Amino acid sequence: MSGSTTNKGYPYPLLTDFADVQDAYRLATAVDADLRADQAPFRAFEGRPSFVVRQTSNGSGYLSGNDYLIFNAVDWDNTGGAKVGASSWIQPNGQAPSWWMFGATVLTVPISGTPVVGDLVEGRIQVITTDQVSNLATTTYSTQRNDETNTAGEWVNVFTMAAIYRGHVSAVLELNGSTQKALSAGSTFWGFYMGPVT
Amino acid sequence: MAYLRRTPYQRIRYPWASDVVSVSDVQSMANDIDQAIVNTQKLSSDFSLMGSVIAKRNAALSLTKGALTAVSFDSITLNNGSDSPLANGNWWAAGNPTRLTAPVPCVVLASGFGGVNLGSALGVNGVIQVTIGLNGGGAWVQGNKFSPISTVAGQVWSSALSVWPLNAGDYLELKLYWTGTPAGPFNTDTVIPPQLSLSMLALKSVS
Repeated sequence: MSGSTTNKGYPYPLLTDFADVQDAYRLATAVDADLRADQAPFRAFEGRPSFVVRQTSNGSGYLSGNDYLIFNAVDWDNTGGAKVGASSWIQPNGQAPSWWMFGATVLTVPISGTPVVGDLVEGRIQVITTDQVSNLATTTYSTQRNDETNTAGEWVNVFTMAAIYRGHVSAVLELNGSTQKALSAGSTFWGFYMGPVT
Repeated sequence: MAYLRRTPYQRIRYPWASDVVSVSDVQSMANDIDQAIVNTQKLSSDFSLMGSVIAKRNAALSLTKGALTAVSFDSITLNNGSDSPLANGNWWAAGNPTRLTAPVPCVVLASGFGGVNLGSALGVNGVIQVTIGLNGGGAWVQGNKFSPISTVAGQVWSSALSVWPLNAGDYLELKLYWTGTPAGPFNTDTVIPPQLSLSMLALKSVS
């Protein structure tokens, strides 16, 4: 096969060539790869990496400390990083350092006792990212605090943007109080890719 | 006809080395290349049609104490691509004024925002809640709830960001809730009115 098209360089046999069934293979794979490359910017935008997960049952009650939102349901994921039963979304290892946006609606449910107005209730996005050179991991938090109101559970909406590489990201409920509460069923955690870090 | 193999991405059929090639093999290959180019053209045309919409409630809406109230929108301030089946021509319709309905399967970023004009302070157990809910029921909601300072009256707001995977026909609503010591009802704020904004992040069909 010694000829190629003018614009795209697709290979084809000349009249002087021996006919070879693999000419079809070469042409098909050349077209395949070329179209894939042409589609890349469209796929990157229209198929933006993103995920949405939920905890679908109440967590265990506690007075003070923190608990992680569990991915009982993966409602959407085209990243491959959100797994049922996990508590962290994991950035694809092959992805270059990237900007992501993450958010959560962290719901609480009273487990025992009458919730005390003013007890601390915080929702957090925990971001763990890795330094490309040193390979050291660092952890940062973004927090929204909506304290206890004793009105059938609290709602905390928290979100953040982060530059991450080999990152792990979680949604967390932080409590400090005198009656037991827990992460409620329905708590939702999401994230989407915003672009490369250059 | 040969037993045809396919390329990895566009699924273009082609005969392999040990095959006896027939005319139909070339036809299959040509048809697959044709379809691959059509698919590429569709990605290209859809690229500019990722929809977005901003819906507001300018007129005062009465909010009963303790009732989660869906906001009926009376102003659609951004409605781009109204002729596009992909975009938001049908996101909102006057017949269902509380709903923003997905015209195609997609993932959206939804920003919900709501203000309440408190005629009197809510007291120590008062809360304001903004909710973005899927398909009317309470099965899946995202939002934010907080307690204003107990002595504050007048305008109070809350907002929330959320992401939703939607099927065609799924709809999102903005709902507001308040409770506290006063009997109410209170109106939504008309100076900075309630608003629900959606922007497509991704199409489920593209991977």
